Amino acid sequence: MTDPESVVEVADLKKQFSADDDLFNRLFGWGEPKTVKAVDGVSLDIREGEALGIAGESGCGKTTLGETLLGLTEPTAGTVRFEGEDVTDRLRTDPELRTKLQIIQQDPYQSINPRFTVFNWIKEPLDVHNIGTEAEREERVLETLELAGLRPAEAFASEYPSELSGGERQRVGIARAIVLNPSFVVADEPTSMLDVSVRAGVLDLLNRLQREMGLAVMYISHDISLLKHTCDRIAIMYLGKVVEQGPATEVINDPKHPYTQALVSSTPIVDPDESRTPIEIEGEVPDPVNLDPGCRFAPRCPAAMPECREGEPRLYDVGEQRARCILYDEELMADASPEVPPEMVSDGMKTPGNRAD
Amino acid sequence: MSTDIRDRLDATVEGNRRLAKLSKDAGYVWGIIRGDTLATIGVVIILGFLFLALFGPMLAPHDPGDNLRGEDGQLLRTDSPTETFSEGAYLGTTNYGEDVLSQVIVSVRVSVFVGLLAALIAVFIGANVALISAYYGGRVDDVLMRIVDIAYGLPFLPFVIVLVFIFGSNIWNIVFVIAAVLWRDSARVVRSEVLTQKQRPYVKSARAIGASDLRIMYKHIFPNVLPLVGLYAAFAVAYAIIYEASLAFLGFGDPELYSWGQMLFQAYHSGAIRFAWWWVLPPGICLMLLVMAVFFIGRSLEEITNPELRH
Repeated sequence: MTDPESVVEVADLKKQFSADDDLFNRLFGWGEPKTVKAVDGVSLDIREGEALGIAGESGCGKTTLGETLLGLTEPTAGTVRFEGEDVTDRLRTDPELRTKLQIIQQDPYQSINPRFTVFNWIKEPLDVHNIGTEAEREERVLETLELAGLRPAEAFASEYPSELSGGERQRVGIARAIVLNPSFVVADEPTSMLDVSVRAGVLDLLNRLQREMGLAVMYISHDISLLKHTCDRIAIMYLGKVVEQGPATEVINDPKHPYTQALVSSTPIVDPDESRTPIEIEGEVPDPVNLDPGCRFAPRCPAAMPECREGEPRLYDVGEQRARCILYDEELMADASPEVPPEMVSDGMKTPGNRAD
Repeated sequence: MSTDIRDRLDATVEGNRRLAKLSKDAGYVWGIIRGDTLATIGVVIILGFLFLALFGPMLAPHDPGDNLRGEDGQLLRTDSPTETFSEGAYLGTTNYGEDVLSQVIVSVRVSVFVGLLAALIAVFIGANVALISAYYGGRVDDVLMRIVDIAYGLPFLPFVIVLVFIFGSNIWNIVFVIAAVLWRDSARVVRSEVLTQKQRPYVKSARAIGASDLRIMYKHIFPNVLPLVGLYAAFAVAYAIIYEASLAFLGFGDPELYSWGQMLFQAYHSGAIRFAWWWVLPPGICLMLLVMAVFFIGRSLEEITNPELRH
């Protein structure tokens, strides 16, 4: 099912970390081997010029997903396709891929080597890939700096990162990511470490670059309201799985999965006259080691049913979205519809019984 | 759009900035040393010894091997300064009538040379082992760190005695043997620092652009562990000086060179070490001063790598 337009497509991507920390277990092979399933079977595609948002709480595997599909960590299973071609095995090594796939990191204070000048930091990708002559590289670096909103470019070029503000550093990070003219960029919480006052500027810059360069961007964030404004589509992750995905406005205005509903209801509304009853979800995120079978969200889900614990639900098509919840299993719900908790209906959320299609 | 921009970016701007950064770093180091009286004393002492190392043979009043004779033609054999001062041997003579002062001055060279070169080699090996070991991890790390463990298990003196016995006691072998013992400290400590640097996001950024392992190790990580490498180099200098003197005192020094350890060795074997204070104290005090000076500076450099020491 290769979509010719998709830039990057991942199918059933898995990344597991071994969490076997007990010496005796390791020495003698006692007990079940423990693995943390950080990313557990994620399938997504990102089309040219599109902004895809990945949302979820801490530890749900958003960052690992981004790093795995860039080849910064080896996937345990699954495939990554770039422009229709299976590149899973050469993600890390193929020089061409390394120019096409880039990352903008979260912490601008840590992600720039303090021993590099801005100029050298942005020029380094060109040096590594041996692009152009020395003079052409210099020119390219200065153009990129201007493009990233660091003007006058030559004044910033000779600075060390310690002499820049957070917003300026993040722009340097962006400049380094786009200097190779990539087609896909993962922006891992690009503004979470920045002052609120400079966030909008950095986001505007990313939006503009995306439009002008036809860049596909994957925004990773825990901030749903940010994703609503920047992204075309959103995927919500919970414990390594995508629980809901669809067009940004639909996912946020009309969330289908109980987890998304809770997540959306927890973000404040700007209008003081309007209020929203937050959906309380109880408990903590379960330990991702050795998960119970069944829906991962079931232990905390307000709409949980016995059937939820029987097996991992698949993604169901609901309107324009897809949600991983058996509430949308028509066969199952046909004879169980009375069991849908009344509060879900009264909250104005569509249940399978009254949904539009 | 940018031809004029590029014109404005004079190539020398970049160079000047680097120079400015370098002098700023140097100023920072100097500031720390200035703020520490002991370190300042250390710098003065070391500058003095460096001067003697460079110009020692020209400054020495006599050839260190000359057998001085008194006016009566008698060899000035193990004579105290009070007896030989008038003859121009201001610090007395050895049992062969050699001028102690000249020997002490000429010997500076050996200590400084062995100290610097052995430390440089040791830290060079140690830093590279540390980088490779920590960066690649896994098997490579296991093998290299077990080699470091073995190096820690080697008792210094027996090891050195055997090696010097096999290879002969010329100064190059002594430098090599001392470096072979000293590299282990910097290897282990720098490794731990590389392990933490490896996890920094800038390394991820370097990976993302497709930088090679070598590039990440030497262009990205190495400059960030350089202060620690420098600190261990300073301590290695001090240890190398002590080790060289110990070897020479035990009689494994280069027989063709004058060194402080060699002087003490000779004093011991002539039986003069119990009374000829003028022969024993000068090399002993010089060794002590030089090693102390290096330690004082190293101690204050530690503040750069460990900011918690600053208060």
